[in-house]
Amino acid sequence: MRMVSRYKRRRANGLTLIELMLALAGMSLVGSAVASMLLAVSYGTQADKNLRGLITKQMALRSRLSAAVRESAMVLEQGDGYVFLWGADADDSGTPNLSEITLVEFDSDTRTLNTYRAPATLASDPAYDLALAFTTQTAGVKGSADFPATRWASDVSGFVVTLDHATAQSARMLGYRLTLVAGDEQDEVVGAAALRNLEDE
Amino acid sequence: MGIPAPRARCFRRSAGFTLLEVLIASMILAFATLGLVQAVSAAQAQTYDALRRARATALADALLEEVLSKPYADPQAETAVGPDTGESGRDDFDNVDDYHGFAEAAGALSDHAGALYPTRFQRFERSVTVQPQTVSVAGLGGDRSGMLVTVTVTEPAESAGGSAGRSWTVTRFVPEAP
Repeated sequence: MRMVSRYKRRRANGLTLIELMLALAGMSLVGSAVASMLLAVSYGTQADKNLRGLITKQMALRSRLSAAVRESAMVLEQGDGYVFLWGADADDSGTPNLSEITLVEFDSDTRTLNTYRAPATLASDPAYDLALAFTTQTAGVKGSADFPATRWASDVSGFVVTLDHATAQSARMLGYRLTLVAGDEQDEVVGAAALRNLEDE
Repeated sequence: MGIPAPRARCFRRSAGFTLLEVLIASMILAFATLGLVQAVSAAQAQTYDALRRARATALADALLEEVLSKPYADPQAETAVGPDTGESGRDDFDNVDDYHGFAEAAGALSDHAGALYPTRFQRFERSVTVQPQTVSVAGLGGDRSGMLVTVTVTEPAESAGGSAGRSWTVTRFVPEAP
């Protein structure tokens, strides 16, 4: 009787190779199913987070771009991925000074949207010719302490400006399209704003 | 003499799970998985909804901005609300009330320069109404006459993923110059 009892206890305490293999196979099946489910949930959560970030960035950018246009009196120059805005002729000189202009520019190398504005105090405040290219005229000061860059957005892959007039300096309305990227998500921002800082007509 | 009763019960329990136990465990696992998946997909649906709302609002704001960029009074002194004689399209509109009745169908939405918006924005429809209105503003010393501009962006039911179509509206009162 004691022999039978010991035999039964030995069987009860261990697993045969087949049992072990079956258990491992079952566990690996369940484990892989759980792992793939967790991966899918993680991907979904990340995509959701990216999309929320994209929406927030869109709203912030629309607000900033529209405000910059509304507080301007004239579009000085517009080109591929940039626009020069003239805030106002503060010194009544009839020509734009460095302290009066804003440049909004897309940098395709760093995939950023930047704005350039002169600080409150300037070493010199040169006046520019309305008839000449502003990219050339401001090339010397762009990025310097007198015309520093401020990053408005990163992960930007395109910036297009459209005007309601073929001649930039006669335009009253500015439209913009931005392409933003966040992870695998990509979306466009569209908007338009009118120049509101016009002289009384 | 057999094995004592408690030890027999112990051996029987260690032999494995009963079918009922396995079924209950499977059901618990299935419900937990379902709950997790539903929570994630509900969050994503809400985010996409917010994205659609942001696009619709951007379209409405852009058109309202275009309307408000026009003069209040008609340069030809026309007083009727709506497009004036000879104004056949958006390019001809030269004051605020000319936009009354303006509408764009899905797939044909364009900006002020006539360039079509990206495909993602083409599921919506846009329309404008302009109505003469008098409002009483106590702080401005009485009644002010002007025009109420309403831009409505609609998402047709078929493009809203089977759900009922929705619309977003922005309004602005434009006072007449004193």
